[in-house]
Amino acid sequence: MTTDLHDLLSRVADSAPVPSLLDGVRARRRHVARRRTTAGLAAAAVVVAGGGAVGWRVHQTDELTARFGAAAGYQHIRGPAGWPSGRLAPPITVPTDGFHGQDMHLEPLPAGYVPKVDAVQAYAICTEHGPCNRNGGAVMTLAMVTYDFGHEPVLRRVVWLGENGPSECSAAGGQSAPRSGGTPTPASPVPPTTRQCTATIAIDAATGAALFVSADGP
Amino acid sequence: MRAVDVEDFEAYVRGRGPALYRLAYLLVGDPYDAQDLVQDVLGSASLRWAKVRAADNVDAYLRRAICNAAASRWRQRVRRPERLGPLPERPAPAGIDLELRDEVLALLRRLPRGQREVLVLRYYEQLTEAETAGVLGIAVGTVKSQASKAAATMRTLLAAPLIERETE
Repeated sequence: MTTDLHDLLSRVADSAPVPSLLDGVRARRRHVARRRTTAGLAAAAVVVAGGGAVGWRVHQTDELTARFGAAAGYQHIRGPAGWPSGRLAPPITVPTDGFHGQDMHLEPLPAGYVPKVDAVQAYAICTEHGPCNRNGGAVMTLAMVTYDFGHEPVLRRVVWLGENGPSECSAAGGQSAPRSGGTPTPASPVPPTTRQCTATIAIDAATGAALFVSADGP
Repeated sequence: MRAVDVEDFEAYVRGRGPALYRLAYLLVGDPYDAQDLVQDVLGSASLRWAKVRAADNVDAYLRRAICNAAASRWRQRVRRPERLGPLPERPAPAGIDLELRDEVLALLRRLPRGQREVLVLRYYEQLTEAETAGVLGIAVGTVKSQASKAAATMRTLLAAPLIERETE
């Protein structure tokens, strides 16, 4: 059994192509050095698009948040009256009409910034219904994008987060708050499944720009 | 970091990085998480490389750091909702049994963290019980019991035809 397990685990381990680790490690060292001298360094912008008629307000967050605040970060996001918290940069409202497939150049990287940051996360909030009203409107539909900057545009996966995720958001029967505050309005009868979509992002390692952004949902 | 340290560190990463990555891959079960994890650990180690190098066993030191980092991510993951709808990944290299890989990774995920760590270190890394105990900071007796439980669980979970197929 010991040998069997070793062989089995070895085959599984060997099935994962080994990435170039050194670039990412160098990037981390540079980033740490920068963070020691430049407080509040902004991250490269990323965009997450929602599917169908759903728009997503996208927040940028910096690598520090991404690295150390993955779990706590989204909990700090508040409803319209409270957000963005100090962790988050001002939101970008991403138009949905005609958006799919367009090349997008996002905010320029800060001067001296080498776009080899290992990971950046973006938090997207569904704007179709506004933040869900559960938990006092504090938790919303979120998407987290994690990817590496390498020598070439790297497609990474998209992760949906949030206690009120797509399957549990206001469309599932709860109530939603309007985008600009005020009295909560009944959720529209959109089946939860239509709220799930997948964003695809490629990042130009040289410029940090999103080369291609698309979204598709069920 | 002195230039000589940088050279030494990067030479170490080139030589041992792949093995550390594979260890992380088995622990976390996701290639991207494994990549992030290993780069995090190595990035931190690089900042105090002279001290790390002075350790009796650099591999053991970094294995422990990877296990700790994996445990930390595991705890975070417990608090997170599961990811929905994975994006298409890059094509897998030819000759790899993806079904087998996915099945084994799923089984590893089902193991309690402690058992998974012991299983990977003992049966994949082929560390001794004492070495495994040293990496994980636990007693040798705990390693024995965890390894026994983990192996038994794997034996139970793995379908007999699969084992036979893979060990023929």
